[in-house]
Amino acid sequence: MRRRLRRAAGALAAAATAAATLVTVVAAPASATVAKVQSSARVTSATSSISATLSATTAGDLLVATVGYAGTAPSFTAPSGWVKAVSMIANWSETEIWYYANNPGGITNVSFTFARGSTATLQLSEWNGVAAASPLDSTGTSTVSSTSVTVTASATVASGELAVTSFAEGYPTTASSITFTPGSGWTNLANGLAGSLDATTADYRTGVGSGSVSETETSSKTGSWAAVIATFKQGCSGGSLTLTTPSSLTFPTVTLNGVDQTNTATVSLTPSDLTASGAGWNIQATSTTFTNAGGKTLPTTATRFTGGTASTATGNCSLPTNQLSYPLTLPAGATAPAAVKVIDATASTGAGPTTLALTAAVTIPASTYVGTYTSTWTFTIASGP
Amino acid sequence: MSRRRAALLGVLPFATLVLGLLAAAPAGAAAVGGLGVRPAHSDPADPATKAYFKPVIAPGGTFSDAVTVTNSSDAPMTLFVTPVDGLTSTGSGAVYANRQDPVEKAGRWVAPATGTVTVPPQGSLDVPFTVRVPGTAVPGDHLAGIAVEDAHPHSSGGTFSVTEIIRAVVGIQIQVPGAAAFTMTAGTPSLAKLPGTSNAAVTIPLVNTGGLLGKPALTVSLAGDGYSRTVTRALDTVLPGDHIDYPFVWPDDVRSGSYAISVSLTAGHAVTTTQGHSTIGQVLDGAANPGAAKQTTVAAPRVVDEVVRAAPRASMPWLLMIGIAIIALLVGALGRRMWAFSLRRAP
Repeated sequence: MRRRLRRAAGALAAAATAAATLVTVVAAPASATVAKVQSSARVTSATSSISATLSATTAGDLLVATVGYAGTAPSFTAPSGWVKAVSMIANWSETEIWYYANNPGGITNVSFTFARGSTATLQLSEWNGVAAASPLDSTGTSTVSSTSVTVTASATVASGELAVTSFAEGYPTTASSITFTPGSGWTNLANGLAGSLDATTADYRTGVGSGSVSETETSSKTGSWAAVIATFKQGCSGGSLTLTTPSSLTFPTVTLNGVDQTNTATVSLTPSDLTASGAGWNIQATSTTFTNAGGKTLPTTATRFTGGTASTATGNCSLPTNQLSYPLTLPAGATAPAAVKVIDATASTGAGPTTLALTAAVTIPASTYVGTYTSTWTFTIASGP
Repeated sequence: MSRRRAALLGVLPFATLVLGLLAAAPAGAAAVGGLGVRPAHSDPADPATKAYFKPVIAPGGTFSDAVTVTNSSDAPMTLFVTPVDGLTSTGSGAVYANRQDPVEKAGRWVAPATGTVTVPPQGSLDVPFTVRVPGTAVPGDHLAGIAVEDAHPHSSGGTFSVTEIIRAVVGIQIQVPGAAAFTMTAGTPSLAKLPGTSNAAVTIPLVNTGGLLGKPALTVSLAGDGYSRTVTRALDTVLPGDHIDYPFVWPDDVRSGSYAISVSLTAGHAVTTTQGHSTIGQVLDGAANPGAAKQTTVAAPRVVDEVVRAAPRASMPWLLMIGIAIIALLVGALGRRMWAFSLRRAP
């Protein structure tokens, strides 16, 4: 008998191993990430117009331009759709970051105009996974005369954002070549001299952690720096349909007193839809009957959800439109019965993380037996027909 | 028993209750879950396939793909991976069977490559699966799903302790080609109290008799004792072959009496009607506004004004009670004074 059990266990383990080998481990992170699609070389122009080229852009992507000017009054103007995120002037130079959110696609050339009389530089990049609407989150500026400069975004940012920096350094004497060193964790986009007295560089960092974002850029030559930073919000796409409970569900302790009572608690849930399917989603719930150690139970209709509210969590793109009516009885049984939907997001709503609060009320009849009652509640997030 | 002791005993239950409420178990600390799912591949022409699978599979055919399972927490997460049946919720809407439930419908056609996975922190895994549609499958929609469930659920404390299980399901809407339609029937409706609440609800037996899933609409009329109202509501998905007793929670308070019920069911372009009749012996609450919470715990018999719609509640007769209390105090004081007076007058 023991040998047979051992053989069965061995067979099970072998089957499990075989099955496990079929599972593909992929490096993709859990949520949508911002990724660089392409970036151009830095170009220079001493006329009143400057252009850079890209391979045809993809609709919906974010385009970013970092520009520099060997002067203090560049008066840059951009084509329709471009928005200036931030700019900074130093003693002899100026730099700016521009962006084009949710570009229509197919863009291959971008031209800026500027004030004649000095040299400008331009560098373009295309980014996937950035919020299509209002992507700019935080900006910051800095100026200093030194071999290095630190620039910090003025507000804390959410995890996963894209940060882009641009630096223009002006020199008191001519320079034929300059070496820039990005800060740790930052990647250079492109460098370039603007004439012989100024140089411009730009860096980026994807998937920044939540909180403060800054970069310290170092140059091979002391100069006067104009530094800017802009962070862009992660989009609600390229990820999964996810469910988290930020805290466990806890009912207040109730003392039985011989009269009917109602015990209420708030169920906190954080669904996050980064699929960009537009199909909506729902949260379903079922439970086992509240039972005490002596096997005494509450009625199977004891628990109901009396209401639900949704509020934006960091990174939210749209709140869910809930079409369910309350109260909703939480199904209960010795084994959990079929679930019911307790909150939903209709089509084209509920993109990104959302903070949900469901009010659960348990009716405790006057005749309830003394004891600690336990129940298992299953919450399921799903999307489907 | 002394008066002081009696007073203490009288106060004790309330004090215990208050202390019990104040001593509520601490709020839960750690986040639970953070698991997510999505189809590993989607059809660029159909954005919905970024959320769930929609394969068209002929009887006897197969379909293979993978579910991407993600873990957005900072710790490894061990998950059960199980095929599950698609079901119709009592209130309409496609839901998915529990992990422990026997797989009896389209879930039987789905075979994931593994039953458990451990997903690294902030990482993801692809779990391949195959759908094998039997040769006897009828044309139409068949809903299944692949459920991933946290293998280590968390429990709260307190006298009403809840263990929370978090799941995420990727639906698989298997479409078997062939002639199929969305058709439904409605049985005899009845008016009664919604179990577990004091709300009025018209229960309507509904069956999807066709081969396609769909979202029907109901128009319900309730008339009796001078009251009449018609309400229309769009329902969620009802799956082929499924039967539900749909609880149409009524918006208005309903007085005791006899009511005629008329139901019009729209499924696709077809409209069918059915009639019913119910007598209720108590006042039932209306649901007020859809989505709004409504007080449902009123134990005392209520006085309902003679109005046709949504009768307002009789409020607690506080003034009368206060008046009675004052009179009782005056009578008591007068009696005590007369008793003292009689003692003084006694020889």
